Amino acid sequence: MSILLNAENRVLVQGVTGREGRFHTQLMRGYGTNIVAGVTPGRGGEWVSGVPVFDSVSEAVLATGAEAAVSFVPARFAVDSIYEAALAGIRLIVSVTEGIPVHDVVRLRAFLRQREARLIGPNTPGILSPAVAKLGIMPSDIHSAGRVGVLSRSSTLTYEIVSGLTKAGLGQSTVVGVGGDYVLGTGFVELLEMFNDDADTDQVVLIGEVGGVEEQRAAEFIGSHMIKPVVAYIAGVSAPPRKRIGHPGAVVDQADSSAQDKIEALKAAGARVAEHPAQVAELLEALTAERG
Amino acid sequence: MRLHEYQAKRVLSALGVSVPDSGVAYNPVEAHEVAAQLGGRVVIKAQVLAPGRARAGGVRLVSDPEEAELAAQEVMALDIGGLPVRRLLVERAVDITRELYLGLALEPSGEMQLTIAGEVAPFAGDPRTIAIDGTVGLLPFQVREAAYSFGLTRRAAEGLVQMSLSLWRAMASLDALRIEINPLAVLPTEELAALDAKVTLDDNALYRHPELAELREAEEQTPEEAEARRHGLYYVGLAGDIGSLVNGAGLAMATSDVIESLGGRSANIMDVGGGARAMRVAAGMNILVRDKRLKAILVSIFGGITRCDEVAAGILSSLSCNEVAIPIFIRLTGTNEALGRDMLQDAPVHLVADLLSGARAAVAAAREGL
Repeated sequence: MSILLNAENRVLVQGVTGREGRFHTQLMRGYGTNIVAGVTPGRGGEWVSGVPVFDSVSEAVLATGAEAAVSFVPARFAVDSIYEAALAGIRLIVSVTEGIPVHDVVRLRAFLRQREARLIGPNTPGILSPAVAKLGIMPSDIHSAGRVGVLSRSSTLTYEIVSGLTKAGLGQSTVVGVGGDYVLGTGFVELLEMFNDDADTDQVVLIGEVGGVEEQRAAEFIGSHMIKPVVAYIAGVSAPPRKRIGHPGAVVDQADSSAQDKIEALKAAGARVAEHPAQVAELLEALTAERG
Repeated sequence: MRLHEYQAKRVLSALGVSVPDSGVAYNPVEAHEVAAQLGGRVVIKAQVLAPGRARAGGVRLVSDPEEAELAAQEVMALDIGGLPVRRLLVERAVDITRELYLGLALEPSGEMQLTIAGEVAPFAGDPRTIAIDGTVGLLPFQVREAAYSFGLTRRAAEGLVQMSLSLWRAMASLDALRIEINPLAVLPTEELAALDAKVTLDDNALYRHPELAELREAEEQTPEEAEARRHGLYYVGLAGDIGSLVNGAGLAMATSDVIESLGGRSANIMDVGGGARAMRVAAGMNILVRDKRLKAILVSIFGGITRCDEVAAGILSSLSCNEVAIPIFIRLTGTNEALGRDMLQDAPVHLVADLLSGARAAVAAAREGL
């Protein structure tokens, strides 16, 4: 099983007629995701990869009972599309879109909290539960089903580490990208809570990077509440201060946003921290051996 | 994106923040002219986006235009944090009775905070941090309370309230992530003036501020960073001798970290982005093969939406128009991996199995090359 989504969840794709939307709708369906509708204003009545397209989310929800959404809508229109989904009753929204203004996300997030809708992202590769479903753009073939929960601020680095886990025979329960942006819809702590409560997750891998204090918050939670062992990897030990490293959220602008500070906080909280990506699988195996 | 002081002051002054009169000079003669217009007693300030400007001698108080010209000459000869000084802010000197710090920041938690600190006795004390409610915004009493606790007079306290409200509005209207006024001067008249200003803007929102986006041209970049940005790549220069080209920001940082953890010295962090086509990869590769410092290059690709054959084509295109004497190690995994590897079979590069073995090989090669 998994956190956040299951095989029955009815999913709609916003921006389904765009290049990325069309391509990934096909891949998501191929992986077993129950995609019931697509939305692109002005394209209602068309079909994309066997999925009916609607002009609005409320129309799509009415016709198909969609409960979750994944949005490929371009940055300038993405925030509007997320408000639309939330107001149409969608409770889980995955925003793949890169480049959404930060102030917009801040307002959006406050709004979504009042309505108990959850945003994953923006700028996320999405969510994937092996052999169940995926929302987003994570490559399917590197994953395998198992009992390790993975949460990450990155995308290709996640693929690198997950593929290492799979090769080592360590399958995953759910892999979640929280997104590379400065302000996130859902942070590490909420997801750690879910993995902690998930009967199908035994161990958790946390992949962080420079910038912000998400990892320190996660460390506080790990120290005080986490029952399951956590192995972390933090990228950016060699990152210089005050330079943005690709992700808008990856800037060392305060002393406590450096990789070293995060690594120390996680270690102090009892997490094992890998020195390089390939070591994550080794540390998980060592933990399993210790616990017998 | 960070604004220079002169840009930040121009933008903030238009939004109601009071700053001393000033002008920008691009050479010592201009500094002389601006100083004369401002009455002679001015501060000459290097406009570079590097910390430690004052310590490096980039800020000088002078009392007449001749002195201004001389100081300008000296400041423009400086190298501050590795950056040359191309521009000066020539600003009328003001008398200061107190100095404060005023900063607004949008935290990664989504909260906006206002911080006020008194740097100089009798106001030195713990900084006051005010959490700004997302719905009602900054409330005047919050600032007033802090102002009186720092011992400001009524006039200065009301000035602080007005300036804080102006800055809070500026955060939203500029799509700023951070605005800092340090120092904020209390003048003998009990009026306030921003003596320095730092503004960080949200890159994602620049599309709706074309007037601010234009200011980017004046932002400090190394030639490599500028070249990378032109091609849609992220490049951050480091001090080492092993170059790397990677898809994805997290993996790019991890690659640089692995090089350093094995005892090598990373020369850069480069992210060619998701779904990079051959042209973009070639542009990134060109930056590396033309970097005279390098003793080895490591390419690390985990293909998803990025295709290994496009990466291979980009590498071949770069190698065909550059003479390369240093070893290049390439790790290709993921989409169209076999095709990409085949394309590179006869090229003067070394294909490696994974990130760790590639990094080991690059570190060893760089060491031998010493």
